[in-house]
Amino acid sequence: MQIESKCRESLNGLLQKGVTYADVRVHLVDKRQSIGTMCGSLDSQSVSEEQGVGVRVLFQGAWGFASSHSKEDVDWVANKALENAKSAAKLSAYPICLLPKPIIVDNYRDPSEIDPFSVPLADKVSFFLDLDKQIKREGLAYWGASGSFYKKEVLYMDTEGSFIRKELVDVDGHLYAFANDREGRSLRRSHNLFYDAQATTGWETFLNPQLFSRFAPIISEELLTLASAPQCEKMTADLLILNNQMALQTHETIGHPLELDRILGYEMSYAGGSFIGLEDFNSLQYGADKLTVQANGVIRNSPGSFGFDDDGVAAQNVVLIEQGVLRNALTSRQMAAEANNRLGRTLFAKSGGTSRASSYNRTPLERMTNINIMSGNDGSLEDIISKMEKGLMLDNPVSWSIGSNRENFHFACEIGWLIKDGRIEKMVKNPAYSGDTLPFWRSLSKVGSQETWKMEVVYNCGKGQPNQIMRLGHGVPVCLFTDVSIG
Amino acid sequence: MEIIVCLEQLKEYLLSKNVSGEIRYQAEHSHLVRVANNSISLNTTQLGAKFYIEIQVGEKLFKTSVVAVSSELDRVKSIIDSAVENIGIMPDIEFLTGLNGLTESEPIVSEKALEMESISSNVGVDIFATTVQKFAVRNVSLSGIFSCGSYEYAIVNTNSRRPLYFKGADFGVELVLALQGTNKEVRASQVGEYLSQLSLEEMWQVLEVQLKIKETTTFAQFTPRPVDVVFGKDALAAIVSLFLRLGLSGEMFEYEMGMLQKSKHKMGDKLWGENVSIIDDPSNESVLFKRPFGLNGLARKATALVNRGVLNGLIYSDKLDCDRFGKQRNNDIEALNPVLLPGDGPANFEDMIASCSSPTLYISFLHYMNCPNRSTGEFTATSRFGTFLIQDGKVVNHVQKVRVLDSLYHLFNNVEWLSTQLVAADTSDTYGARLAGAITLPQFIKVRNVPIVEN
Repeated sequence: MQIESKCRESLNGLLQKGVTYADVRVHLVDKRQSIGTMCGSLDSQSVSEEQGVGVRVLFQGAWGFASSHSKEDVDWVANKALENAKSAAKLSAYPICLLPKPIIVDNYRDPSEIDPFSVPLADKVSFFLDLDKQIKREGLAYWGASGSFYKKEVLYMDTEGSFIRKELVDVDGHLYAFANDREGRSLRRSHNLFYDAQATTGWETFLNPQLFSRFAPIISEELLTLASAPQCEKMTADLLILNNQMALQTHETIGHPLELDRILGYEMSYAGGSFIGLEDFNSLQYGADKLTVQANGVIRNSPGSFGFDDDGVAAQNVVLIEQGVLRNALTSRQMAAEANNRLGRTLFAKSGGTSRASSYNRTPLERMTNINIMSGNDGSLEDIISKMEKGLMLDNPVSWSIGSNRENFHFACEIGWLIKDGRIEKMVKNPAYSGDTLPFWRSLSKVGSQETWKMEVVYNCGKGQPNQIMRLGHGVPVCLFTDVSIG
Repeated sequence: MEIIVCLEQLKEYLLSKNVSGEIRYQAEHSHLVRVANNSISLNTTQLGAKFYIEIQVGEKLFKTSVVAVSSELDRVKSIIDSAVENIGIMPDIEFLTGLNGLTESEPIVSEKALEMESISSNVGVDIFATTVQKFAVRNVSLSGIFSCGSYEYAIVNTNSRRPLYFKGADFGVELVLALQGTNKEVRASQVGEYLSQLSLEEMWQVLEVQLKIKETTTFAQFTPRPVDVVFGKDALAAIVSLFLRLGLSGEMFEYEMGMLQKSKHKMGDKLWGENVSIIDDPSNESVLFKRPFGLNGLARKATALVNRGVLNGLIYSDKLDCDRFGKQRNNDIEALNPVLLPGDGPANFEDMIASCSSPTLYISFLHYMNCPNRSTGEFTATSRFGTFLIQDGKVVNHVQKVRVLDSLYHLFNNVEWLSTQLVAADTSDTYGARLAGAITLPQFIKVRNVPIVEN
């Protein structure tokens, strides 16, 4: 029997057993290939292939879930999920209900020109070894280049009648170099592949030098200068954050706190909660007027774009923060309904389509799509630097540690540049900064124009128990903040 | 055992293809119940199985993995065929060495594995239901997880005589109570190999004590400054876990990317305080999840890593990294049984409080730890689930979460005392395949002058 028919039969069987709702996700194809070099040699190479099925069942207001690596097990999985839901229903203070959604019968395919799995392995290995050569410099301790390629074919079906097929392709790439400073302490400089939001995902992403290869010699040269640079000193000053670090700043202090499951307390025991409450929507001044943030799941080219989420809801573009005011959250059918019920009014009219699972063996959770900061009108990077009296510019995270309700943060970065009287004065090593989330975003004073905006990729966002690693994007401009605690 | 037969056949298959190779199998049967807002938010069961295959021909290496079970021999063979086909196009790795044989052992199977994998999910639900009932009058909301199951790994290579096989079982319970309408939380956790080791009463007692402190002392802000800190077992486990990976990993030492560097440090260096000793000992009676061989098939023997503050051993687990530096693997960092040896300090909460006369912070848990500067061993995290200010032998305030920004050098050179009593702290994670982990360590550790900073 075809897998679709088996899944339909299982779902029908569950309905007959009294479930309110059920869905099944089958990963028909789930492939990953990684290649990495170090100092002129192949350092890592692996291929992995997975398949499997997961079934989620809603019974008497409680979820049950089960999965198996064998998609032939769909009946066993469905029955186990129902058994788990029945058991879970014994402790249910907030019986789960789901906001309505349209029934969707559709396909989604990531825009991709060159399937990375169709490129001969030898060509891919040569490509990364060539980049490795471009990074190599006298004085570096270690260096290398790496890339990963992902391909998934996912079948989604639910008891409401939705039937969705998705073909997802993703790539990520990384260039790195290490050198020792004068004290013999290791320093790193790196570059992560970013995306052209209007282009296509596939091997062609690596072939655009503006996104990846042109940074190979840059990171080496910067690192060698950094190795003899002074330590970043403690100060309170203006802070100009470049794109890669801006992506993480956005991720940790806007994206995570606006996940509705965190706001409602569903991640308390592990990842933590959120300083945001339901009463804050449409009133809280989250940031300066210059701050507008979208959760845009329909950007053409990003791992945070996926067609339909794992509730079977179409991806969409939701304004989270509008001119500094909090407007919306990252929502799913379940959490939006629960928030409305708790408030006794409709705050979230529909799911924002952010419910995603990392694989067949995980349940969907609120996950970031592309949490993007809209570009401003403060000009180019050079324009912003030229208007700074004194401050620090920095990029690329080394360390990030965030308060459990996302109310504060501490970041350390790879590289900093002191700015004085509108010019870059010198490079500094080991820059770090910290702050309280709301005062920090309210201190946003300049937002770079569109020419500074980049689609950065995060491919290691962890959340949930059992843990799920998710891929997503952050389209961000360079941004200037005032009076930040640095050092 | 079916998987052993399967691996023996796959070994023969590799040999028939005239390649060297190693095949590891990992499988799990997991249950996880999650609670939040006094409701079960997730009740899940997972079956997983995967083969990891490495083929070597001369100085060429090809790695691949596939989700499959032991009955899908042909599927795994086809993956081997593909690897053999592709290895010719891989570039030479000039430092790659040949495969050594693996250690030998009879199959090891936990007698509780079957029980833990076939457990009813009602068990987890009941733990939470009774906890909700227990604290029903306290205006608190319960979150947490109950995780249990079995995990197995088996490994063979073309130079080993026969496959190794290990099957273990574990459970972990975490209970968090949030005081409604506040940001205040308390937490208790336990880890073990079988359910009869679980004591809900003990966990409830831990929660009660902390709740009572929050209810009977005033809340205060703590002005950032260096202060003596007593770390509880979960906070200490996070620190020791980081220390193992950042300080005692042989690979990090060779690459000079951690807090110890081969150009600066050597075995026998006195780097930490006299009262700091860490061993890795799969035969130690105190440890959970004793694994006499690692996932890499190497025998694991009792090793003193830090002996009275002196660097005594490093953990080398990765073959390719070791080949690069001409080192031999000696352990598996994924399968450790680490013990931070005890001292002569107080072993229960009341005695610990009574022992602190000068201002001392108690930190039970460290949230979101990271390393701003690996070379200096610098780490940062915020306190969570109970931060108390102790003075004159009593808790004077429960305080807002604080940020610790310290270095592992400073911390382990300023240990005032360690508890006499050893406990286990859960270090399992749920990122990938199930693999139980725990660190055995003193119930409390007191450290002088820990830097507490803004944010």
